[in-house]
Amino acid sequence: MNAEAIASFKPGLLSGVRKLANNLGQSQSQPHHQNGRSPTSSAEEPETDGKVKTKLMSMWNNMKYGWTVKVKTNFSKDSPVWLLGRCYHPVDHHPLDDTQAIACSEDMLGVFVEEEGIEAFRSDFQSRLWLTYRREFPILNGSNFTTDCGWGCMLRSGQMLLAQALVCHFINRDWRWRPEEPLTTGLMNRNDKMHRAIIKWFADIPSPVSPFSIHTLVRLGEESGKKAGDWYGPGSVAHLLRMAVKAAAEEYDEFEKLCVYVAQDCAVYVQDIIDLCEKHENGGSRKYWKSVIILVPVRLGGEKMNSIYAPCLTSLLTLKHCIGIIGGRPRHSLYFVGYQDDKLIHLDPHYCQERVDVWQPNFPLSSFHCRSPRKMHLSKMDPSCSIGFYCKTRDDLDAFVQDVKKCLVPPNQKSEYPMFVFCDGRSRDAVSLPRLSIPEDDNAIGFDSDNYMECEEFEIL
Amino acid sequence: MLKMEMSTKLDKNSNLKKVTKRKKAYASRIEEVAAMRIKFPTKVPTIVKRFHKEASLPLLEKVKFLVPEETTMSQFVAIIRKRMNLRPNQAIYLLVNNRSMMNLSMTIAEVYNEHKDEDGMLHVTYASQEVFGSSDDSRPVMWRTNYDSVADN
Repeated sequence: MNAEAIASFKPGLLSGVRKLANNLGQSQSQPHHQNGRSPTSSAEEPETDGKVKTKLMSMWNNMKYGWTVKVKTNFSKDSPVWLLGRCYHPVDHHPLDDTQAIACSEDMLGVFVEEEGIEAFRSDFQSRLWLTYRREFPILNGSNFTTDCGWGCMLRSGQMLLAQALVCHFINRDWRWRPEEPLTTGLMNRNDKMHRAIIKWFADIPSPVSPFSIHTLVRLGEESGKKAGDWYGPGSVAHLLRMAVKAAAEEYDEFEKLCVYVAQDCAVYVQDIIDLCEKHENGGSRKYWKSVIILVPVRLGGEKMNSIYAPCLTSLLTLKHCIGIIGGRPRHSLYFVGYQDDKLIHLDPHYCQERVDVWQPNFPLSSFHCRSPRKMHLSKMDPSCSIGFYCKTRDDLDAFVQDVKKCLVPPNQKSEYPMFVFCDGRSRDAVSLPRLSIPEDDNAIGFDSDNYMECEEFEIL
Repeated sequence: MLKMEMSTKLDKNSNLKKVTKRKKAYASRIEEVAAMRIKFPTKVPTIVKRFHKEASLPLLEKVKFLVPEETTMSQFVAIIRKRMNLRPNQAIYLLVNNRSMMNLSMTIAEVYNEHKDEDGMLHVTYASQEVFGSSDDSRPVMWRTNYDSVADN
């Protein structure tokens, strides 16, 4: 039975297949093999069931996400389109309405308007790396999965965010992928080579030559109790990226000057970043500076994102240091790269493509770039997300800290409720600062038996 | 303890709010809180609850606290963290009135003045982050209409 055969079924049957697959999954626990082979006879039966289950789920998901979607996104002619710190105005030489980006300093608004129109936007958008679900890749260690369709979307969004940082690090933000143009100059050849190298680092194979593959990320996730097929949050993916880049830097010289900082509890400790970036060459006196990817996991509401944060999110996307936001709508991960008015522009990993053999010379690049930008209303955004920034140099870091602070406090509130904060110093010093002492005996302070009667369930801190 | 009939609705943090159907019980709770304010004028009556969809963070043993009013929100986060024995890299987010309360230098008294509930207490909800995977929406992408791109503008 192949995908086309399934596709000719009616939707009712399809949901039947899905239910069957789910039931199979519940009826037995999956055995844990190091490499997916089945060594013992006792484990053979559940192994087969597991395979059937995974197969069915994969077929279902391949069908579900395998449609080619051709929809045209319209962009309003009246307001600017922002894409990772660049501003494009649909109509050339139109004066920019500066009410669009709150908290954005005037010089920032002025700088990036020079690019021309919606075509320049499209060219920029199409140059971003698009990493989607893939099928028929080598089996994921300790599982039966040969696809991430239906569960890997958050990992894919994380990969896209990292890919954007790598493009900024190894090529630059101005680089555009122009497949129709021949590579005439040395620089173009160099950039093309780098472009392909970056894609190879994300190739879906369990090998060190592909340090940011889904295989690597899933393996790193195992350290925190996750396994292949599990869902991830934007914060845990941020940590996976941090670990993956750290491991890559130990293995390959290319990544020596790159590191990832993940904020804890919505606080960015500037000295921690400096400690991470400032390195001494082989213990010598010569210092060098690592470029840093700063990831800030946040939660902007309970069930729904609190709309007071909407202007903060859009103004973050106007920052030149911003490499995007990984989050999504509920359960459906997306990589947000820009906005127009009250709609976010995103790259969606929910499109199942066949694996591309990136080890072929001149492998096809088109499946790694998205030609159709999509938009989603800000109000639909899930409150959980991680915001990404890239600072190449020390000066960049200083400028970033200055610029981003203007975007963090929601406007028109009685008090300040910033999305996240910057702290001088190191987090470990902050922890040892005299916090409110918590007595071992909860009843120790100012608390006699009379009071105890009155406050029943209340605990006095 | 009073046995109350409970019904549920969502509070300002979109968390489940147990509403006592018996007005008397509710009134007595308001009285209780008011008495608490008189007895402990420098302590903020605070109720800390887990987000109803939270799957990874543990429940707190006690949920009602009288917190010294000068406690900052970031200190309060540290207290809650300690109570739950969270590992440093485990994520927790505190919400009041659906706003992020992480690392605020504001004191709990300031937050209380702005966001106290009608029952006289400060309602704090804690949660980690949501996870993302395949949407439960089982229709293929092309059948969905909630993509703005289809009917944008």
